[in-house]
Parts: sequence; structure tokens; C-alpha cells
Amino acid sequence: MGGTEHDSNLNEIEQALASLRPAGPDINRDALMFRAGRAAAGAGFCLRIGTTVAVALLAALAGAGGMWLASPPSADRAGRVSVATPVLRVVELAPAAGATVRPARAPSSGEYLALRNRVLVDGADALPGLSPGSGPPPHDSAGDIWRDLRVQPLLPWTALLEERSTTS
Amino acid sequence: MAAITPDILGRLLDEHGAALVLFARQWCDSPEDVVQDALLKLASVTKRPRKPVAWLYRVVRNRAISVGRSERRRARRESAVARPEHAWFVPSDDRLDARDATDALRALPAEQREVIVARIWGGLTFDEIGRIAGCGRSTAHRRYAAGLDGLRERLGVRWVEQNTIRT
Repeated sequence: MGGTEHDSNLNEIEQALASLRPAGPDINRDALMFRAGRAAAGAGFCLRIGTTVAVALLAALAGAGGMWLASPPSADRAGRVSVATPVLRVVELAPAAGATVRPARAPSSGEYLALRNRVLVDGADALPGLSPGSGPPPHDSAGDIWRDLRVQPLLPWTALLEERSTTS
Repeated sequence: MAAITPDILGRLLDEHGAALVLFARQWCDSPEDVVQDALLKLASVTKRPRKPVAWLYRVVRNRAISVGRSERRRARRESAVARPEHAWFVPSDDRLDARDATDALRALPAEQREVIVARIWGGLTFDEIGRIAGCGRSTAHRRYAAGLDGLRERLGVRWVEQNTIRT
């Protein structure tokens, strides 16, 4: 009961206060509208400028990215270092016309010993395929090894030896 | 949502300008400047707030608190220069005297005063007032009831006397 009376008192004072009108604002309406129009135009101008700048930056970035992707790769871009020329060169000898290519076969111990003895007596010329003017025997099993592949080391000392042989 | 048009701004000024000035007056002595700045700020935003009136009250409150601090600092530096007292209300009927109401309202604590002004003359809900004042809805309602109690105590005698004489 007391609460209801209290609420009604609050409502009465509330209504009495609401009957008071706040003093009118001392604001020049025309000046406010003029300044508001300028502020709105300024905000719109800044927004347009900001949008234009952002679009231009994005276009420039896209163009630069496209050019970068289209350019040939370089060492700096790939982050790699080019490797020097290979030290060894593999020379494949062409098989003789009409000859059939057979898989290499390891020489037997007897053949190897015979070849070793010939090299010890005659020197390197006894090696099959190295003697000038004489090719490997057609059915020499040791010649098959040398005929298939020969490895030529391109080391500086070989170049020196070659120069010395040509000058002498 | 589109920006605020001049028509809407003019209507906001007509319908809420006086209450906003009264609200700003709780913290500073130049409430018209504060309200004008808030309206200009509303005009310059590119996206219209969902509740422009509540937005205005929030901006006016923040700005008025800041201006009030500057005014108090300036008043401390400049020695006592009598500032003109502005009337908070215009006399409407004989239920309440405008000067008595102003004095009673001024005597309230600031947190109760802002809730009462925002509720009675601003027409805001307690949810909106709570968000503006940085408190919950129930706290805003509690401050409102306490403030009305205080006003009733201060104004009660004269108010009851006037009502009794009138009836």
C-alpha cells in the first residue's frame, strides 16, 4: 500500500516535472544548417578522395604484381645461385654401323690377367680401343667395356698435359 | 543507412534541441555550443546512426563533460568572474516554479540528474540511458527513482502547498 502511494507520488512529481519546458536553445538555425552542409560536403569530398586514392593504389599494386610475375626469373628472385659448369663430361661413343649393342659384361679373371700382362709389356697402347688405328676386337669382351662409355676428366692437370704435348 | 539530410537535422533541432541543451547544461556552461557541435558531427557522419537521438545524447554528454572540465580549469585560473545564470526552464503552468525546479535539480547528484533529464525531457528508454551513462538498465532506473525521491523532498512542500491552495 505504502509502495503504491510512493509510486503515485513519484508519478505526480514526474508529471509535474514533465510540464516544465526546457529553455529554448540559443542556436542560430540558419548558421547551423550552413555549417552542417559544409561539414557534410567536406565529409563526402574526403570520402571520395580516399576512395580514389585507395583504388589507384590497388591498381598500381596489381600492375606491379603482374609485371613481376611476367618477368623472367632471375637468380635474385628465385633465391638460387647458378651452378658452375660440370667438371666431368660423359662422352658416349656411337656404336659401329651394323653392330648390335650388347650389354656390358664383366671380364673374366683370365681375360683380365691377359690384358694386364699385355699392358705391362706394351704400355697403354695395348689397351683395346686406345691403340691408334686399331679398334677393339669385334668379340673382345674387354673392349665392350671401353666401347660403351668412356669418361674424360676435364681437370686442369689434363689441360696442362695437353698443352705440354702440343708445344713439345 | 544514408547520411542525415538537412530536413532531419532541422527536425532534430526543433524537437530535441532544448532537451539536449538542458542535458548538456548538467556539465558545462556553454551547452549551446556543445549541442551545435554534436549536430554538426551528426551531419558529417557518412552512415546515419541507428538511433540518432540516443546518439546525440551520447555525443552531447561526452562533449559536455570535456567542455565542463576545461571550463573548471579556466575558472580556477581566472579569478572569480560572475557568470550569468541561465534559466533551465521556461515557466509553463503553476504546478512547479521553474526556478525552484532548477534549484532542486541542480542540487541532485550528477548521475541522478542526467538520468532524470534524459528520461523526462529526452524521452529515452532506460536501456538507452544505461548505455549512454555507462551503467546497466536497472542502475539507471534506480538512479531515476532516487532522483525523483530527492526532487519530491525538495519540491514537495511548495508543490503540495500550491496544489492545496489551488484545490
